[in-house]
Amino acid sequence: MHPDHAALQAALARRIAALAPVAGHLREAVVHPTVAPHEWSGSAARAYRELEGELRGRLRHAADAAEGALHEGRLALARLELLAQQQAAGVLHG
Amino acid sequence: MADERPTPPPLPWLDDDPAGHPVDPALGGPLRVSPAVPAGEPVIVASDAMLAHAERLARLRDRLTDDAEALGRTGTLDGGLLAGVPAVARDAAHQFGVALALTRGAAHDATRTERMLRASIEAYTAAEEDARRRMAGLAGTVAMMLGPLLRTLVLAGLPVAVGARLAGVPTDEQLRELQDWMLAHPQVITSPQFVEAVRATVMSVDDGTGAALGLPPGVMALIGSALGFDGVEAGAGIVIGAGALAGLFHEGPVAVTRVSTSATTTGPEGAVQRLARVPEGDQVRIERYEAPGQAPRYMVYVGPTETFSPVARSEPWDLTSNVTGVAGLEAGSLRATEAAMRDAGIHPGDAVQFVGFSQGGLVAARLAASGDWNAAGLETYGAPSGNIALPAGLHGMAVRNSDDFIPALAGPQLDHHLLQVERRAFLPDSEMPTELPAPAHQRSAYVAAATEVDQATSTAVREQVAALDAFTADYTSVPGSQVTVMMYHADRVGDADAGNAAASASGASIR
Repeated sequence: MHPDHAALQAALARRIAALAPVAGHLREAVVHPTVAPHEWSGSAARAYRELEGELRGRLRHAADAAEGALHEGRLALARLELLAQQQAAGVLHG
Repeated sequence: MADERPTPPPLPWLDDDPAGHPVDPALGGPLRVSPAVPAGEPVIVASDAMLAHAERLARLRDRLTDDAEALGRTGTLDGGLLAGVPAVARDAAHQFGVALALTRGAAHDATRTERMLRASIEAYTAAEEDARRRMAGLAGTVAMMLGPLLRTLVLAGLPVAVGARLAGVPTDEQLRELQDWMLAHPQVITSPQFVEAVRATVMSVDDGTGAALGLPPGVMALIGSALGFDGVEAGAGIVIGAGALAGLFHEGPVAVTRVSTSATTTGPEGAVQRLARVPEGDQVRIERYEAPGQAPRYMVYVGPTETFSPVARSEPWDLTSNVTGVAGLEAGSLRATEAAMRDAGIHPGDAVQFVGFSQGGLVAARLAASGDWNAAGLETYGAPSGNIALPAGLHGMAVRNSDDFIPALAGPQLDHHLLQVERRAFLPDSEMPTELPAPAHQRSAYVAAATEVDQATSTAVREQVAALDAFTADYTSVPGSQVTVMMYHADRVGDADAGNAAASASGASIR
């Protein structure tokens, strides 16, 4: 196996480990959004609800991106692992 | 001689008021909460639901900020590592960068949203406080302007009133009719607007009295301050002084009897159960909690006003104690409660948690503020005690209905070392009970408030309920623990009846 690939695999694994709980937090915030009580009304409440809507949108994008990154990262790890196995097999047979 | 009973007296107050009419919590409004803050820090007021929302948003902000930092610490995948690797690895590296950027963006948005919410709550609080201050200022000005008119009315009206009374007017029947009318129209005195008017009026008693006596503006307040009375205390002092001329509000010695001693194994859990233990008839209930290897700790429950007669007779939980207590003087009910505490074996270093309803709340707050007792917690319902400066670090809360005028008799809420919880007992379209006067001040209305407190969702309220619960549960959960319940009855007695040295020294004796 290429030594840089081993370093890359380790780096990817660290990132996946760090990102997995974050993705969980983000998805939870999307599924259970913070919503201001209905009793609050008026111009300040309207402005706040706009911000709240922006936050929900941002959280959704972040959750999607985090889950996408996890998916890509795991794919990359699997691909690198396969390469490593192929390289090892080539050495043995070659 | 105290009656030794195997079990404590029954609690009559769990669900119903004395007439058997429960107040549905749904008739009232949401809880409005003002968390305790150290002196000088800004006070905020928000609904329990809004506070719970703000707390949740703050937790989200903190978690996203932590998450973004944690991701940032993993660093970027440098070009060297990515040279010659499959495209999927380069895509993954790019996606990690995007996820980090968007998580940071979400943390930023959560911070911005939380700041705006907090700013809105603070602006709302400031606007409400400003409106209240303006009303108090306006009331003071009106009182000063009306002073000369008041003087004329008193001088001209007094002979008329005395003459009418001598002629039997109003008759007993007319007074009964007035009472019946007040009972049938509780909304007259049961609204936040009426409460604010009462608050402004009690704050203006000194200004109005000064103007009526022909004194320049502010002089009466200066005189009150020189005599040790400030704010609403000055007004109560004036009421006591004026009442004394007619033989009213005369304080004297009290005697306290322990009427029963019994044992139980459980403590109260939640606000409703604590309020249920506040006694009536016998005015003080003390519970001693003992656990192996631990110093005893005590719950002191103080009952509400028993009579509103301004003439001090045998009942110390009367109007005299109310006015004297608001004035910051040694009310009979206060002295009686302290006598009961001493009889129960409470020493100055023993941890005590006070619970009081109405005048009982006033007494409880005065005792917690006195520094004479080791107050760990304080829980009051409908207490006229907003002018009492409490120590920092007390657990508990002051609960009041915003359409109950009794707490307003102590003026505005000045102390913020204790969590303040307020709610309207009866929303404008709610049907009010008409069996008892001032329905928002009845215990049944406060049981409804306590029910809402027990169901609160904000951490600000939940933490205090949990701390009050833990004070007793920490002991009752220990094997071998025991709880002793002592009930006390107090009476005012003539100076000659007080009888012993302790009474003459403290104004309260145990018999």
